[in-house]
Amino acid sequence: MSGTGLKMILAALAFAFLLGCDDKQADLTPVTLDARLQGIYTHTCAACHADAETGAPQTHNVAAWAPRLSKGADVLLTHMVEGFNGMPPLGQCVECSADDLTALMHFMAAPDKDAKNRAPE
Amino acid sequence: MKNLLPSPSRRQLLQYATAASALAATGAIPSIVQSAFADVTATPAPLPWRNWSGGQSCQPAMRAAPANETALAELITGAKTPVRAVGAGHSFSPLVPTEGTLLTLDRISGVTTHDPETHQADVLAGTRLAQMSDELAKRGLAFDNMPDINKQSLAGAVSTSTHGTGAEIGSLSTFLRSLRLVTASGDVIECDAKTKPEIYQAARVSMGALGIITKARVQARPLYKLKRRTWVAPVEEMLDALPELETKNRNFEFYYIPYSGMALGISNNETDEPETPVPVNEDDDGLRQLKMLEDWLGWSPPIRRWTIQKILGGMEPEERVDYSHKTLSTTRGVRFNEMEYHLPREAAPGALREIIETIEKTTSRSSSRSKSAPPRPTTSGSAPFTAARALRSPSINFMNGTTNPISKPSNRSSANIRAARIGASSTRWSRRILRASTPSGMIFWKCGRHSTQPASSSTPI
Repeated sequence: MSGTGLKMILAALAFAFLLGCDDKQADLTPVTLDARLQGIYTHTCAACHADAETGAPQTHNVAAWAPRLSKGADVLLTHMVEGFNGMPPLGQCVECSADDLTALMHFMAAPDKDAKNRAPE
Repeated sequence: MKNLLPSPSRRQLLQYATAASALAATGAIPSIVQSAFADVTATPAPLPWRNWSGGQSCQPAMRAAPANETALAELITGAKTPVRAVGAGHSFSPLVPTEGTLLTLDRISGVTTHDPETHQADVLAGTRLAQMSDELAKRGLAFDNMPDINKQSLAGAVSTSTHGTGAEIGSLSTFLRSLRLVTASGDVIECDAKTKPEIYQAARVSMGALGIITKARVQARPLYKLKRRTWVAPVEEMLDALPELETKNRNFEFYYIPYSGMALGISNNETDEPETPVPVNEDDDGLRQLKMLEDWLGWSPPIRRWTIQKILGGMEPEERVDYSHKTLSTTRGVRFNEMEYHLPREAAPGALREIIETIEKTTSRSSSRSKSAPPRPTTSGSAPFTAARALRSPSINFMNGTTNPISKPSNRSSANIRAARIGASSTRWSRRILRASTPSGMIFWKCGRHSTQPASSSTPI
């Protein structure tokens, strides 16, 4: 087995374990956004989470999101609202509610609908 | 003199220096490590608003994201006041905080049309500069200049006289040719240099005071490329060469790295050369190492200065060729607060030297950062300017103490206007250096021109 494959499996296991600790469970199932949230994602989140140069965890990069999710939903929401490191407050989404932010985060932390980007199960 | 021995890579240099300095460290855990693992559990509700740097905040009673100009006009007449519009929240000034209604124009965005003959384009107000640049590029167009952060909305950037570098290039507000404005009564005003010129001129840098801009016609130019050069030199050498650097380069700026005696210069000049590969961000480890090095050697400023000079002095200049909006604007992984001062160009080098001296004499990791400087005369002007930035707290506390921001309400009786700007650009070099910077951040010299609008001088962004 290649080193990359092993890393992917370990990341998926860690991801699943960490999410299992969360009261609002996410899983490795791709998340679909409604049109409003998709627009918000495109206008705000994607500016950093779809640009690797920013250093932000990239959308659908399950391994990159796993250690973030391990902090727990409350901490993550606080970081999203107040800003944390390079993450600007509210992710620069002025109209977002707490539920919006959480949904957007789950969308980005989950695998892409495209199977080739999906972590091994 | 050319080195006879092959130079180690920057990463190797950092690793060596970090390892060596770790042995000499006091054993205390660097504060950056402690803060990185600090846990925050409180979840505010309802959600407050904060600006990008965290320096401004509010708890608006209502938030709204109108889908178009008509919806905005209807909403604005009945909304709880004060009504404030916010773009990306990159202004450091208290323009946005409100207990009333906070509006975002995020849904009113995009480049709607362009004229290939005049190179003008209609851009909706909520369009982020990065998005606008990409859309203009697809149409073969580009702005004549860009700020070093491109996350702002067009309306926010224009309204606050956001600018880039370049002694002969205006701020973004100078690129406007007409605009549409929704007033507090819900009326829509369309104006330009001939139609309602007084409103047009005032509204270009009105900080939202005259209404909410919904659309602007902007003057662009055919897409062009720049060669960006980044190099390190002793700050005195940089200051001595300023007149030549300012006149010979289309865009020029430099950053001073406090306690090091070294500066990072950045120039941009037009070129037809082929694009170079986008630099890969491979320096995060190096940045952390340099930051730790700086922390660990804080007990001995002379050794820290010598070590950083040795590391930076051995670095080769870097060059990148790309389209203008990619070399002029950068990605900021580090948020900071900023102060910005406008000075006559000839006065700025001396002022900058004073700031460097003040920072390095009055602060260290263990000393107080709240000492106030003696009152200084305030000078502001329209063309040459310099600015000051500081990384987030506690740095901003120190900077506020020694050089009061002119645009921010202060209890202090005077403002000490001195030349500096603290920040970084997106090159691997400058990103590394910014994150490795001292508590006082980076001092940044920038030579450029604001809008002719008088309000511009008091609104750093």
